[in-house]
Amino acid sequence: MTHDEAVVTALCKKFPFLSERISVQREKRIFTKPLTPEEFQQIIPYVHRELNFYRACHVVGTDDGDTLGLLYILTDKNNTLLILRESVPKSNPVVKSISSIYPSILLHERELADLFGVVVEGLPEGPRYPLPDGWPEGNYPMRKEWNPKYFDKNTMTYNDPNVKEVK
Amino acid sequence: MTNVNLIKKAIEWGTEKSPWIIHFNAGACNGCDIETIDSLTPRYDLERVGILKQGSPRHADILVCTGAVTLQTRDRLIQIYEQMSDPKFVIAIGTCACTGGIFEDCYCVTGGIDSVIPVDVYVPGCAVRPEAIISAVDKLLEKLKNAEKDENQQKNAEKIEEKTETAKNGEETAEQKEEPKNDA
Repeated sequence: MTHDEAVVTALCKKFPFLSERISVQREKRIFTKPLTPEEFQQIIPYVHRELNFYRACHVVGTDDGDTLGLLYILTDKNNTLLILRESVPKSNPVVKSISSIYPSILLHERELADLFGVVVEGLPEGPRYPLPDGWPEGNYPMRKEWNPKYFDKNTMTYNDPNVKEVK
Repeated sequence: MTNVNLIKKAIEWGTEKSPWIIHFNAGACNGCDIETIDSLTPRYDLERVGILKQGSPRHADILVCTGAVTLQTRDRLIQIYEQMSDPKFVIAIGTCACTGGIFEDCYCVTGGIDSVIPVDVYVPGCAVRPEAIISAVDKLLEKLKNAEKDENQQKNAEKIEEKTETAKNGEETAEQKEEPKNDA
């Protein structure tokens, strides 16, 4: 049994709901299908302590239409990548911070909050990153409905002629 | 007046022979910054021809800018440009500094350096070779010398014009003086 298969079987034993939603795409690349935030919060401490995925490389945000996707990329000493995918509805994008377990993920979570408008619970107070000072609230430039054409950089205001209602 | 002219000449001579530069990163990926530092360090060694890197904008003649201007650095770039004393010149290094490059129309980028402050020399390239930077400085200095020549020529031309004008005015006033006499 290879290391990748061992990881998959261990995860499936511990969390039965993962059994059909996890796969080895190629050598050293383990992907999961979108998980709910509750399921994700269950998996993370187990993966960190028992399976020794001690390092969080990156978080990728995606705009999937009605939902926002978050890809957490974790690695262990064999350089196996475990990519946990989380999806939250765009209308209520609330996610719990995992920076208490992986401190390096803090900057990535700030980036998600700034660029995608994900509400990260448990994020310590601090400066905004990476958008400039004076950026208007409620503008998330990495979302698909946001168009840089309608953003005035001198006055820092966003005027979309297609949207009449101002949130 | 002679003292002022002497000081002006000394400043012009100084900027030609030994221009001091200040380097500012307006949002570059650090590729062009490494190349500018490379052109100053011993391999290419711009210092041997008198070009010195300065820490303070108040002592510098040439502002060497890299990278597209982001919204965060825009105000700082203007501040640094205003702090420099006249005569001041700007060199835009790299494709991003010239036009915005791949970051053009990005949500937090205003464009090239010339979207904020006037630029004298553009150096395209990604990343720029040190030879290109040296040639840019050389071209700027040539431009300076030519500008001085032009200024001197203009001054001479103005002087000649003034002389002719005063002469003409003198003639006109003389004619005007004569005219009422005739009427009377």
